[in-house]
Amino acid sequence: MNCGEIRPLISAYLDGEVTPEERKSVERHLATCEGCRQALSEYRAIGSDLRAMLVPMPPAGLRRDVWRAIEAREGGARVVKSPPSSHSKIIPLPQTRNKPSVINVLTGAGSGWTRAIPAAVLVGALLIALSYFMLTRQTPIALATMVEQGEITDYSQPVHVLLSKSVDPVSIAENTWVELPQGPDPASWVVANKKVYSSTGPNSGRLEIWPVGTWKPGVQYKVVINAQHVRLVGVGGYLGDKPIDSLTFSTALYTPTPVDTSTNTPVPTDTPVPPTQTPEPPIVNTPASTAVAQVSSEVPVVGATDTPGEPAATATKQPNTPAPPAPPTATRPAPTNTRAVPTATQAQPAATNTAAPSNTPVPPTATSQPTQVPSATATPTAMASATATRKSTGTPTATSTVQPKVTASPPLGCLLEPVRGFGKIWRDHVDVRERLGCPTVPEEGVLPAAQQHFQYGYMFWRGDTRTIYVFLRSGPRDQYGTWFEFKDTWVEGEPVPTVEGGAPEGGYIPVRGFGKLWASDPALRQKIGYATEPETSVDAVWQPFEHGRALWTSDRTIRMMYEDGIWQHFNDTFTSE
Amino acid sequence: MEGLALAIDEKSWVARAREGDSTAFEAIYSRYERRIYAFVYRLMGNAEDAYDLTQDTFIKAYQALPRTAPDLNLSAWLHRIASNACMDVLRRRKLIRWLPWETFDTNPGMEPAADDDPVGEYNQFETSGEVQSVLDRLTPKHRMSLVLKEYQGLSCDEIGDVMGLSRSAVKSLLFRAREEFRQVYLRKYGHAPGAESDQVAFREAGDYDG
Repeated sequence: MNCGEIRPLISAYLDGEVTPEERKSVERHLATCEGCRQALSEYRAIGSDLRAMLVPMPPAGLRRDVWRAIEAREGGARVVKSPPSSHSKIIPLPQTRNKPSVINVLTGAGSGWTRAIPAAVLVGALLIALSYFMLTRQTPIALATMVEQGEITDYSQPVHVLLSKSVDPVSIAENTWVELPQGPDPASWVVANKKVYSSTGPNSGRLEIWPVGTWKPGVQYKVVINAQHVRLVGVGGYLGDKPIDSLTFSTALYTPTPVDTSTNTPVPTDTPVPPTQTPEPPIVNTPASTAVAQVSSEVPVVGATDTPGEPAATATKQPNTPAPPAPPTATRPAPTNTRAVPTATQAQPAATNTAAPSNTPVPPTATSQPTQVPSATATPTAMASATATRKSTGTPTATSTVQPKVTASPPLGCLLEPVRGFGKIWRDHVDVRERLGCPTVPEEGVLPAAQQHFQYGYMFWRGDTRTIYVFLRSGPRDQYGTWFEFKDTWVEGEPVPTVEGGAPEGGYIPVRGFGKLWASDPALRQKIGYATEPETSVDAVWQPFEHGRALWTSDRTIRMMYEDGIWQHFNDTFTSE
Repeated sequence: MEGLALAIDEKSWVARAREGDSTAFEAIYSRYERRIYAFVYRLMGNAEDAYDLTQDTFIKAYQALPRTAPDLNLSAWLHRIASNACMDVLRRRKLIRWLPWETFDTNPGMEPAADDDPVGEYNQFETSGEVQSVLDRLTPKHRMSLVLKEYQGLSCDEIGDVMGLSRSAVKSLLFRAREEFRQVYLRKYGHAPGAESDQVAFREAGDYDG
């Protein structure tokens, strides 16, 4: 056969769509024909190129619009349930926290809309129990199963996936990631970085996934394996023909060891400096509080959508409220902290921003909630915490059923304490203190340094270490997000790769080191958007802590960079008097 | 209870949705929303169309579901509705090609999206990139077959289901699509696909196929 005849077969060969005879003749031809080998490798490259394209995230409004349109057309006749706006995420946490993960597995999505399903499942259960039973029998052998059942209690440990087939270690690691149920927002694509697959030995077939830092407490994670890209060993072909996204695991809520309410804890009202010594919002260890924490964490989306103009007190220094609380790192000796971490909030920085709404007098209940929501519970708590936050006098007795506890002061007795702007925030914000730990060296000036603001983030360059820090923003305000560290590989005079299409009006294409990084990484470009101003040099101060770093820039901005990849923004209010 | 609930598979959702159970349809929507959106996005090359046509797809699916056969292949069926919707639009555009469509595609703008959703916003700014711009220049059928195969991970049989073709027709379509892709790519970038694969994805570094 000549090349013209063999080419279509090469294409089919690549897809595994040839007969054994065809395969043989293709291989025979390839062995002698350079041109066709080239064609095969180009066909392959086309596939890799396509698979490497980002999978865009549908805008949040889509779901709502679809439902509205369906409702409108159906006149509501067939719509049994009340319309699930994309805001119906507020659901009470069931008594056992395992249940949502089941739903998650079910729907493969776990977005708020589908999480309303448990009720329906429970109601209909008796009627269709039999068919459920039969379906159980029919469940096919899973290609991949989660080893960890039940909740993860050690947040620093890896989780494991057992695969039913032997796969190529590199391709499984490349094609697996961990998402938060909300999908790949900036916080989610860094939740796991280390993936180790053992193809031999007692643990063969096992994929080990390590968190970046720690897993967040009280969260359901989804493990997604792009099975159609995972190569099988030996026989060739791929693990599956579509992504496996039914694997989930959840982490236990952080329940600190209960201790007696310390008598030496200063009563908030007695504190000499009221605005600084902020008492914690009323915190409880009862399940009720957990539910509330979940609820408020879900609110964010609502807040972002419905009250965009709300000038939530974010401009001014705002103790604690939006701060993602400290992750209970195993290594950190802070057992005295009796504060139940509002875990969901922390886990989803995107969501956290809306913690701000809880600051406003309007509690989250204002938004459309599914009827299951015990809004009675949610409201008082939201109010109470808002109150406690606003007035720093916070007598947390506001909540009736809960037993408020005031946080004991954490790492006292650091050998070194931060000073000036860092020191003020570190002392004022107990959660910052808990997350960062003690400073490891005194603060130091950074020279040279440069910065550039982007539509959805910020870049900072340390000239002394030739490092670029990328800060992606989660949420509309410049409050917190995720940060990344990159080596600056650009050398003076090196041309920066050009990117197709110019900057939109009012936007800038970054240049130099920022530009190189930006141009070479489409995913980063997508996340951070265009620059909103030219790069500028800046005075900066840097201080490493046990569990993070602090960065001050001369625009009087402080960014706390926690080791779990979250950053948090503060205005520097320190004045030297 | 949980073990039982686990066993509810797609078929039972379809069955329930067919009976008018909107909860079941929500489950289906949740499972396929992103997949269909991505598919349409790659076919049309822009977020605006992706939004509209994904919406159309699910509305049509909701209405047509009661009339489907019990052994419905949901994935292929949804893809088929989506590709028909896309083809309709592409065909219409071809008739009125003198309109400068490009202006709609590259207009990220600096103002926030109408829906104040940070995650959604990011998507407005994806520069379509090398691959997308090559895809955009392919014949719609070629583009569709390649996207279904390589991006959506469908088998030739499934693609046949979606596009209403026999398996062998799909094979030869894929061949022609790959050839067209090569040529367009070469013309546009001056080198063959894969010859310069130095792009590093943010999440998954390196390329897939070595």
